[in-house]
This record gives sequence, C-alpha cells and structure tokens, in this order.
Amino acid sequence: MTIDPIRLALPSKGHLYDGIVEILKTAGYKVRRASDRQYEAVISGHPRFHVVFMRPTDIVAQVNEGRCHLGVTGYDVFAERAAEADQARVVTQDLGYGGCRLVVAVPESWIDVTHAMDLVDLAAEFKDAGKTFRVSTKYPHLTQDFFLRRGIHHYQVIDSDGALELHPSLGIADVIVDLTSSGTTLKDNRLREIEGGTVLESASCLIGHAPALRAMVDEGEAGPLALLLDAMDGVRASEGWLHLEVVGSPAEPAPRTAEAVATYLTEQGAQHVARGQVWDAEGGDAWRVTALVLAKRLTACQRTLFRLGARRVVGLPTRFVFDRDGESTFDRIGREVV
Amino acid sequence: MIGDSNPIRAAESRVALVKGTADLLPESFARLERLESLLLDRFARAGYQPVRVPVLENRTLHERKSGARIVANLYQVAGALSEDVCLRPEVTAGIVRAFNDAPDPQTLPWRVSYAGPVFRLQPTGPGVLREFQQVGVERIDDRGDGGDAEAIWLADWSLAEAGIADATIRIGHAGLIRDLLKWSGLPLGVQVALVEVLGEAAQGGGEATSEDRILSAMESHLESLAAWLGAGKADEEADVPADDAGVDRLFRTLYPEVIGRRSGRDVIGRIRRKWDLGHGLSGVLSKLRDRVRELANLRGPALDVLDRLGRFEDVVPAMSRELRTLVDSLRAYGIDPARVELDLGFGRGIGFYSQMMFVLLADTPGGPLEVCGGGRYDGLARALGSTGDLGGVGFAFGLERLREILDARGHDLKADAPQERTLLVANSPEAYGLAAWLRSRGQTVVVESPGRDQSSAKATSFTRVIHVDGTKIRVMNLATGVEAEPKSRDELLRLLTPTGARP
Repeated sequence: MTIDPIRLALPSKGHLYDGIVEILKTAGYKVRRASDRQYEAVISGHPRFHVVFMRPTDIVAQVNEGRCHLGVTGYDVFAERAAEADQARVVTQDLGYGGCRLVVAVPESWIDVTHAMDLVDLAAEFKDAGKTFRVSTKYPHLTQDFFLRRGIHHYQVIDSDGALELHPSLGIADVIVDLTSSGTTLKDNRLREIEGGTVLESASCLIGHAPALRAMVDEGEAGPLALLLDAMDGVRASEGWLHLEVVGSPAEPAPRTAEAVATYLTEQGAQHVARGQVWDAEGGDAWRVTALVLAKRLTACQRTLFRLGARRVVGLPTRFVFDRDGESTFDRIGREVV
Repeated sequence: MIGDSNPIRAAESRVALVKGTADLLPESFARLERLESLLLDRFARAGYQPVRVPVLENRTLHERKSGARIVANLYQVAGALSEDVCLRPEVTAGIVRAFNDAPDPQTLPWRVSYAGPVFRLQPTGPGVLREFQQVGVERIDDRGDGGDAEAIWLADWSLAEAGIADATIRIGHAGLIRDLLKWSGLPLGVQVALVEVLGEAAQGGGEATSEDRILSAMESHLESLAAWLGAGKADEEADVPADDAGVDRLFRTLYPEVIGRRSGRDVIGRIRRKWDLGHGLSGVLSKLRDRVRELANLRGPALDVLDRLGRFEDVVPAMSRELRTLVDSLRAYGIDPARVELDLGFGRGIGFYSQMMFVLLADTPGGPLEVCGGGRYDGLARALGSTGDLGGVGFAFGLERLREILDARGHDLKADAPQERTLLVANSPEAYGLAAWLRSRGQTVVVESPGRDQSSAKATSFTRVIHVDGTKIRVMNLATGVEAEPKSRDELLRLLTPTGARP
C-alpha cells in the first residue's frame, strides 16, 4: 500500500518549529506556509508530503493513531506517552536542537540533599513523620519510573501544568521534576539540581507511525522516506563543519609540505583529510589538502597553515555530508520495522 | 437544510476496547470459567472457602505493603469523592483488611479463596493485560508451621489437576537479604529501597538472565550509595564545623529563608545523621556487595543448594532450618524433590513477602513461563492495623496466563456435557407464561418470535423447539426429529427430560 499523501506533523510554533523548518529547508524540503495562523502547508517540490501543524503532545497521539505518518516533537513529550503510544516509533531521537534535561530539583537550602539517594532516605523520613513526600511535575509517568527504579514509592505526584518552580516555596510540593537547559530558571527560584537526578536527556525528535513506516520502507531507497531521511542525515552530519581547501606551491618537495599540513589538520580534529598534487596556472608544481574542519576551529588554524607553506586557505560551508561508514537512519528504521 | 443530505447516515466511529483489556465471548468465557471453577473446587477440598472483597480499595492499603512496582502501577479512580481510591492491583491486601475488619473474630487458621479481576497500569504486550483475573488462596494464622508447605502443595496439585503436572517449583526466601541489609547499618528507608530495586530487577524483562539483572541493579545501586555517602561526606567536611551552635549559625547565615515544608532544624538534623552514616559505613558497602554476590549464586536443585547453604547458617540458622523442613514436607506431600529449585538470591516479590516465596514455572514451546506465585507475608496484618501478631501465606494464579500456557501445551479442560436448551417460538403472549413456568422448573428456555427455522435453531446449539399456537403445544427434538403434542404443561415438562428419543 502506497501512502499518499504522507502527512508530516510539525509543532505549530516556538523553537521546536523553528528548528525543524530550518533543517528541512537546508535538506531541500522548504515548508511553504501562508501564515502563522494556517495549520496546513506543502513542501516545495515534494508534492506527496502534506504538512500539518499542531501541539507537540497532540503530535504523539496523532502519529500513534496513524492520522499522521511522521511527526516532530520533543523526546520528553514522546517518552512521557511511550507506554500508550505503542504504534509510534522513534525515527531520530535527537535532531540536533531543542536540547534540555528533565531533572529533580530541590530547594537550595536543603544542603543535606545532594544526591538522588537522598530522596530515598528523605521519602522514608517523611513517611516515618506521618507526612507524604510530594513531587510536582508535568511528567508523572517518567517521574514514577525514575522513582520506581530507585525503590522510592512513598510519595505523591502532583500533576500540574503551572509554574512548577513556585511549588516548593508555596508548600504545594517538596521537590519538582521539570525541564531545564541552563539551570537559570531553577536558580532564580532558589532551586537546584542534585547529583544523579537527571530523569531524561531530551531534544527534538522525529517519530513515525509503525505501519506507515513499514509501508514507506517498502518503497525502497528511491522512495520518499529514504530521500527525506538521507537528506536529513546529510544535513545533520554537515552541521558545524566547513569544507577546507588548502593549496600551496612547494618551497620544499610538494609531498612533504602537503603531508605536514595534513598531519597538522588531523591533530586539530579535522576529518576526511586528503591530499594530492595539482598544477598552478603556469603549470608549476603545487599541492592541495582538503578536509572537514569544525567552523569554530578554522580561524585558529590558518596562521599555522601559512607557516607550514600554504598560500591560500578556503573554508566553504557544507550542506550535506554523507559518509559510507556513517549510520543511515533509513537503513536502521528498515531493520527495526520489518 | 439541517442535517445530512444523504439519507443513509454515516456510521459513528467505533468505540475502541480500553487498552490492556480483553473481551471474553461465550466460548472463551466458558473455558476460563471452567478453569476458575476447577481451581476454586480444589482449593475448597483443602478447606479454603470462597470470599469476595471489593475491587475499589483505599490507595493507602496497597501503599503500605504491596511492593513498589504494584504501587507505581495503581489505577487511581478519577472523580471519586475520595482521591485516594484505586482499583485493586492484587487481592491479598484486601483480604487481610477484610480479616482485620471482620465483626467477629475468625477461627484460626483462616483459610479463604478468591477469584476476580485485578488492575495494573503497566505497559501492555503479548500476554500482558492491564485488567486480568486472579484466582488464589490466603491462609492467615498465628502460627507458621505447615502453612508454607500446604500452600506450595495446593498450588502445585491444583495446577496438575488443570493439566500441568510437571511444573518446576522455585522457592526463594526474603529473610536472608533482609537480615544482611539490617546488618549493614543502612537507614531503613535505604534498605527498603534496595530490596525494591533488587526485586524489580528480578522481575524485569530483556535478554539478560534474572541473576545478571539483579547483580547489575545491585552494583548500580551500591555505586549510587557510595557516591551519595561520599558526596555528602565531602560537603560536610568542608561546611560543617564540629560545634552544634556553630552549625546552626552558619546555616542561618547562608540560608536566612528556608523555603518548602522542611525547617532549618530538619535540614541540619539530617545532615548530622548523614555525616555519621558516611563515617560509620566505611567499608560496609563492599562487604555487602560480596555477600549479595554470594547469595545470588545460591540457586539450583533444592538438595544441592541446601548443602551449599552451610556457610550462611551462622547468619540465619532459623531460615536454614525452615527451608530444610519445607523441602522435607513437600516430599511428604508426594512432590518429587527433583522438581523443586531453591533460589536464595532474590526473586519476584521480595519487597512484598517477608520470608518464603515461590513461583510455579510451566514448560512451554517458547520456554518456561511463570504461572503462579505466592509466599509468606508475616506482618502484613499488623501493617494494616491489626493488633495481633498474625502471619499469612498465599498464592495466586493468573487465569489468562494459565489458559495461554495450557493452549501452548495443547491442553484444554474437558467441556461439561452440552446443556439441554429449548427454543420456544412464541406466536402469542401465552408463550411467555409457559417459558417462565418451564424456567422455574429448571429448564433452559429461550423465547423467539416466529421465523427461526429448525436448522438455524440447531446451529445455535438448541436441542429442542417448542411451537405454541394458542393452547396447542408442539415440541420437536432437533437431534432425533421426533415430534410430540403434549396435552398439558406437566406432560410437556416430562417430555423435556433428556432421556432416549423423547422430544
């Protein structure tokens, strides 16, 4: 059965929306949306894809039900609903943006609580004192699983969508389990993380409806799923890297100078380093070294490259990087769903 | 125009079955019920009388003793007047509560059986439901002698009667690990948590063996404990001066406003306890790790493990004696010791059971599967409010699991002889009175409007058809084709007696 249209659910706004639209655009899948208030869109040049916009939590439900075939949401949102979403599969767990952590945070004045094991002891102390240890969170399932794995079960989950950071100071809860990226909001509210208190590492992720994935995998390497996932793999692999070209004429014999440049670049963390002999405009001997280097490292390297004999250093933005030995998301999903 | 222009209305979307539940249509219901009746009958032969306790219980009941995994998977009842009400995740706690609440003192030992649904909000999968049936027994007593052997034998015999006579009986004991943890000096809450973590690992799935999972969980937990005490110690050495008044002053200076429900005194008090613990437990964790590793290896054929148990006899002599007596008693009941394994590491339910615990494992083409589990839970009655020092032992079969295993082994209980069922075709209201009269005299009668022919009646398992036309009654035996026209209701009743070729 061929799926047409392939319905792709994206977050309707915010950083999860911005990030995926940028990735898709770089991959050659420009999302054409008439306005921020329109909840449907098309992708230029890829008529089989039909984009719909909704809330991240709804995306998990709709992909699980099969109304949408692919979806982008936060991994935290998916993981919280994973037990119910048995028809949804994670295609790419980390799309490279929207990173954050789900953590246990305690009042900063609790200097006796430094480690997750303290919660075990503390929950027992609360019980002995005839009190219930309270935990506020928007993620009750992940929280229960975290506590269960540490043998804590005398506590009460306060399932709340509000500003959790206020709960300890208002006495609503004793600790909270919430998302953080820099920790600034926790600190501003006189809370802090504890060692071993990370419940989940999260980022934006791509999920798919399992039967739909099977059908799309059946369309093979030239099918729309393979093309989309390969393009996204290529984009993600290229992120942060520059294609470097270093050329020079030999003050010394060309192979030795090129070798010194290649060795230096490898020491600086460059990848896919290659070198060879070339001829300049006058037909004189010259050499060229190409490599992938992290963009942030290039400016620190160029003076050394000149000292080693380079005449020109060019850093070109990369858009796709495909490595024969790199993991293909399409191949992996093919193995998982078949 | 209001409404759909199409005269044929579009069908409403289907209301799906709640995830993790299953419908039991007549045939599968009958099979499950036969199994349930057989088990309850065998329990009754050993003196266990059926009781029924509510499906709705207070959450506290299960929080106190049901074990972390069960409590974590409780179905809270939304919208109930009390937010602490839940659907029962198992029946034992409810039965012990009922014993405590009984208006008159019950004769000991109190032997009862039960059958009914339990609910666990757990990930579903093949053979894993969220609502499933448990059939089991509980024996509450002020003395423990003989109860453990009786429970294991009864579970094993009942399973044999259901068709599985070669189950492996795996017996564990929670006493050893509990005593070891007590000896470690860890705070009680931390001990309980470690027991729960190890029990959880024993029950978990995946490709690793139960033993590997347990050891891995233990290593991880002990590492956390070491990090916890280490981290705490370093902090306190830096921040906590020796004199108490100084500590309090320093704390008040650093944190003039303490948020949350704990006071500065609570925080300081606990930091002192933790400091003492960190110093007192130096070296204990590695010893604990070694002993637990030794324990995890104590598994295998009963007689072999009893021999190897010698080195722990100084630690827990009572437990060693108990196990030897138990294995001897099972032999006296006629159970071949070759079917009995001892697993003194950990197993299912060490967070719940206090001493002996057991599972029955049935071989299937896909490998051994757990079909029944139970054990001793001394202290549960007291934990639930009883003043008496009572103990208890019990077990439960998962009915759907048992049926699946019987299916996998190609075994099914024999169906009862087909029931005589009569179809009464009613031409007039008088027929309803006749149907009621026949039913009150033990007949199974279904009333239908005219139009159902005899072949379809036969196909739907009716054995006879009665046509009533005014005062005239005609009855036909669908198996033989013999017809008769009784003159009175009494004559009709005699004809419906299922003998020979009578209609």
